[in-house]
Amino acid sequence: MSTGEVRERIKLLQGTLDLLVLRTLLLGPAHGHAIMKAIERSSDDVLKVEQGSLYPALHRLIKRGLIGFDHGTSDNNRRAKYYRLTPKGRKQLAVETSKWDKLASAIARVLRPVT
Amino acid sequence: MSGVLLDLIRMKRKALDDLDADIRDHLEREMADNIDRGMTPDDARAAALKRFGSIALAKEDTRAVWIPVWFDQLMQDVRYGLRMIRRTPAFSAVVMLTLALGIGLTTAVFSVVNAVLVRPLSYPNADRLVWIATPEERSNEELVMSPDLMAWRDQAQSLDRLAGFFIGGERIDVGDEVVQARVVAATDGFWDLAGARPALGTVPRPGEQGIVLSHAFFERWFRGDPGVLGHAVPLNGRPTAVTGVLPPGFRVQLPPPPAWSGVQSGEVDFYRASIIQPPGPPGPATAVQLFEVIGRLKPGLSLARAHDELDAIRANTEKAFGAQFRPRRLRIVLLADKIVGGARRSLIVLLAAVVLVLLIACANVANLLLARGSTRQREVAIRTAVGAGRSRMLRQFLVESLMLAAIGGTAGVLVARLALAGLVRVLPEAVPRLVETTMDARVLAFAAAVSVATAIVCGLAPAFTVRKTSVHDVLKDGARMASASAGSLRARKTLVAAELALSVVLLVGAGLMLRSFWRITENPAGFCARACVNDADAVLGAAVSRKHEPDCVRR
Repeated sequence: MSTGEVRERIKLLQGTLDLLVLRTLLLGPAHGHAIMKAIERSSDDVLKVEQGSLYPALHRLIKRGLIGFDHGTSDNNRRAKYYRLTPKGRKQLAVETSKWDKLASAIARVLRPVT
Repeated sequence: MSGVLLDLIRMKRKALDDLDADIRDHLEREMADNIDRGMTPDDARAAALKRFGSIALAKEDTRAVWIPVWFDQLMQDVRYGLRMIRRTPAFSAVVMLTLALGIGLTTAVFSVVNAVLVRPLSYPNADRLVWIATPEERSNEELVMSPDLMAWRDQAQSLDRLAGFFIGGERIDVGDEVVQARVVAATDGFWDLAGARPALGTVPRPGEQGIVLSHAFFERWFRGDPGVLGHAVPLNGRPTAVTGVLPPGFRVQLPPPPAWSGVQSGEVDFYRASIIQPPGPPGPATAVQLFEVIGRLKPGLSLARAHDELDAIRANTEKAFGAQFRPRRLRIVLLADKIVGGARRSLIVLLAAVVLVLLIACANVANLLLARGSTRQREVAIRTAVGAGRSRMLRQFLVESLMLAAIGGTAGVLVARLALAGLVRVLPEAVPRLVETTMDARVLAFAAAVSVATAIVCGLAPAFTVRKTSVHDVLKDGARMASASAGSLRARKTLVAAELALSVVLLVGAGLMLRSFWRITENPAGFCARACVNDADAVLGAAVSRKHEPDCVRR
């Protein structure tokens, strides 16, 4: 396909997809395909996610009350399910993001100690 | 709590509702993107599917977010089990009938045990009610003479209520005819002890005569007319006021009347006040009344303490009336124990016997399931070959036997109901309190527990022999599937042996019980009934005055 296939793809850590979905929805409601495209695009196609695994992630988030959904009509006049962030999801995203930052910088410090 | 669960279920239905459409939409968009990038429609579809991964897996994982996997599999097992039951109707019917009989008998006997031994008496503070008697040394007459009763009533500190009563047959004129009725004549304390609160009117005032009707008697003979309250009705030829009517559910639980009184036990028609007459000065002509006596211990007092106090008071009374009475001893037991009497042991033996019957039924069913298990080896082998784990197979077998047991158990509860209804109708007095037997929540819980236990006992044996099935052998050699494996044959032989052993125990037990029953009826009580009546005369010692008639023993 594109250059993405040549580049090495990284498998997502367990549960990270949920965080990425929340982050994507911060920009506004979107349907499943759009969410997936946005994640792939903003990671420069590095992250390798089977698109099918998006749906269990979406439903996990719905069950936890972090996202909701409405039925809407999309650009090409097709009915689609639009997922959106709930206030609770917005809060959770902030918490998870700062957690992630801490984890990432800690790992970075271990891997590249300042000598 | 259940509101949260309902919300979750509603949310689940809404979210899962259009999962298929959602995924289809996703794939179409991906395909359209691919076509825009210049692929042919076929390539675009293939690429989209590849990119998406397994659709079935995605759906399954999404469902699993909402519905626990074990629940899904359980439903599968249940559906499969139902199909098995339908496909072998004769086999299933035999298994279910066997279980229904076993569970039904056990449940029926347990409901009697529950009503007679487990459930407390229906009186307020029933655990503190005691039965008090002063039998003569070598006699079984459990009556109390009025001097003792009066002394206890006035002096005893360990009891907070005491009542004497006597069950007898009396004639009451209900207006257009005279009816022979079963009557409890009781002293003042009785109403409070028995928790008798009339639905209409009141109980007689202390020291006054009065009649309190049972609801059934009031309905039947006075046509439910409240106008009878306050009217004097001829009772044994003497006008006595009707002061109250008891509520429909009220029933006393008392020991059966003494055999020599000639009164059958059964529902009481009405209650009347009984007034204790002072015995007069001690002397050869002293008249005493005889009562059966119940009392209520003060909270926290032991039977032994009450016994010591009552015995001391009795000793004083005995000194005063001394020579006229033969020596007596004091007996005080819990009322519940007195009412049940010797039935406790018989009931426990009976329960043990039906449990043996249940075990035999279990062994039979296990044997049947084993026999069928050997014809199902091929099915098991195929399911194992396509990836069903050992534990999954085990669970499927357990679900199947649980379903059989559940149906058998439900039928068993019906069997128990019928058996009990028949028993209560034919032999209401076979066991004290038998008429109170009902199938309450405890009985149903017992039936459910027995059914589950039965299912596990019956289902495990076949499940384990099937577990040993070698997939390779069975699938390779079709001929072998008809012949049972050595393991399952051994299991079946063991079961038959166990069954035989249980049957022998049951047979011997039944034989022994019959023999002791034979002995009891052959030689009723070790004395002749006639002598007993004469003895009662002697117990009274002094002449029993016939003028305090209803409370006295009259012959």
